[in-house]
Amino acid sequence: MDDLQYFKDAAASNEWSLIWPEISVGLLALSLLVVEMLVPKMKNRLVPMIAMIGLSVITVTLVLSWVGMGVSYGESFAGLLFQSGFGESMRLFFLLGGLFICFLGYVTLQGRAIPRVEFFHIVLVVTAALMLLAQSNHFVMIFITLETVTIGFYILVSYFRNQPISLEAGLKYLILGGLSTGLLLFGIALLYGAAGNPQLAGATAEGLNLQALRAFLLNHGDHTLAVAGMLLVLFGIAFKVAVFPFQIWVPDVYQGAPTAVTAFLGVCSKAAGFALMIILVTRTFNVETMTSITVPLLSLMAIFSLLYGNLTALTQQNTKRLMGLSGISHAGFLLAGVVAAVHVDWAVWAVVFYLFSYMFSSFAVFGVMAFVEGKNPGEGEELIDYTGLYQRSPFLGTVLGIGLGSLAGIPPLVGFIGKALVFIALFQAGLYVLLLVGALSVAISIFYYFGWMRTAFFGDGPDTEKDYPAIEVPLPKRVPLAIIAGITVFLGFIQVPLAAVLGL
Amino acid sequence: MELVEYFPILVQILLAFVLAVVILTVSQIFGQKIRRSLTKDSAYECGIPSEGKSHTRFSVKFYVTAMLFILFDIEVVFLYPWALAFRDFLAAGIPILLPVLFFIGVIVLGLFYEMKKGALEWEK
Repeated sequence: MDDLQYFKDAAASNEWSLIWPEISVGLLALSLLVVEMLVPKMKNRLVPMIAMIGLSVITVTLVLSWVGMGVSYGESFAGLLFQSGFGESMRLFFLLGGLFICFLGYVTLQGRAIPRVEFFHIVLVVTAALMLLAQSNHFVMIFITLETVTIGFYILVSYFRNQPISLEAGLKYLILGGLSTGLLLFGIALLYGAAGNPQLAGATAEGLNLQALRAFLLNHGDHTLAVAGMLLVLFGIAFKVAVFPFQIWVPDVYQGAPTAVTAFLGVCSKAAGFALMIILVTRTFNVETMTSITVPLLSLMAIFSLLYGNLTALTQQNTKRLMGLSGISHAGFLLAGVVAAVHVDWAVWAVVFYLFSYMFSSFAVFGVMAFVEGKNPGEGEELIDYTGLYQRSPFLGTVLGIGLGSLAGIPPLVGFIGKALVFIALFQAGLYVLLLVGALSVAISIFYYFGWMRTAFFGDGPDTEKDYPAIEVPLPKRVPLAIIAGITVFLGFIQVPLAAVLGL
Repeated sequence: MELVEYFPILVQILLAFVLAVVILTVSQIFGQKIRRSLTKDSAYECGIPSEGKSHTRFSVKFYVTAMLFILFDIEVVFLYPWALAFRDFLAAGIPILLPVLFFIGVIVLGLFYEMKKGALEWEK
């Protein structure tokens, strides 16, 4: 019975203890529904608390387990997962991201006649899927986790179902998301078909396994079907990370989605795409015949993303659209880092560091946006609504200043270090054109980030006659924002903790 | 497979295309010519003018019931091959009972959740 032996080996490689964080997050998500079922009266207070406390406990335990037992390496689950330092750091990234999104969701959903529990449930399920995605080593795993994430996002984007703008955003995301999934699937099918062609030497039936696929591509990297498949897969992911020319959905979807979801989409969904890019571009498609295509192509996409994002953001008056458009330029930076990682090994860590720095700085900005915005659709989202924010709430003004400064890459904030690392990687990889465009786009981005800051701090907006009320932020809600802003400043000076986490 | 071996598929595609073109042209040439008018172009509903919207709305209860049906249907679909492989797997010492119990447990939890949420009460 050869079949049984196969199942036996597969069952033996199921090391469930390796994915305890994902299992815990999934069980936490289920327990939220149980809590709602058992104590329906207290759910609005209890459920966000349980979600946040649970995620914090899992995050701390994960970090402690690294200290205690070290990071495990290698394949598990019959080659579906591949544990590595990269996967572990992305796990931490998504846990922290999910944690802060729960807080943002708590702030955004307060005082609205919208069900709460489902929001936290979906955020947790998506977080678990994101964590698995970063460790996947098999196209089936990649596709299933990516779909779990994307379907969760379809619901989350249109979460304010009584607001037409949110529904419109959801529909646009659904259609373009479906298109990108189609591209990705078609690419996977072509790669699998090419790798399984028995007429080619070194054909493999395990073409969905990334290592087996790479072994095949070493010999047949110039095979037409394989190249077409690789391009389609990369384009499918490019939709998710929103790099040029697959960025057209970004402004509308970001504007229509609830602020917490915009932050989730802008940070975690983008990071998931780049985790996949790193897994695929630097570990799977890194055979010479393919890098001769991917490096120029992705460089070009990065250059156009940098320019497109920054130039369109220059005149943007809506803060959510502005964050989306500037996010495209950040995606350009990250893509440049991925390209550099094809040549320079440590550039992977530059990308991861940039992702962390982007997460902390954008969460600072999105956190402030969640407090400034009003309960009606589109209320408090324009740049004018930030007039004199520092005078209205010194705390929010400071956090916003730190976040925007870090996004712009002003030393000594963490965003500066992230950009510097990517620039060094680009220099070492010899990609001087990308380096030049990157530096130019930093200069452009300073215009709109500082314009926003000027409105918030000196308040010489066009409409100074209007009365802007002070914003009160209660102490418990200040703590997470203060922590995020604190990390943004702290990591700008001392990178040792994050570097230790990343295994640098 | 060589590209030549896909030739029958190409023939089939062409055949479908040609057939469609032929049928449309032939019926255009030999078919009866009628004068068009508003009445003749309108939708025919047993000779009676159509009433109401073409897209009527259904209660969400139908969808909930259908979704729940699919959910438990899938569970049963999973259980059949599981039952077939159960004995062989146990003999070979492969864990098979606990994973499926976990799976059923999650589904049962979902069932209780639906009951508590009132998804199964039709009159509500």
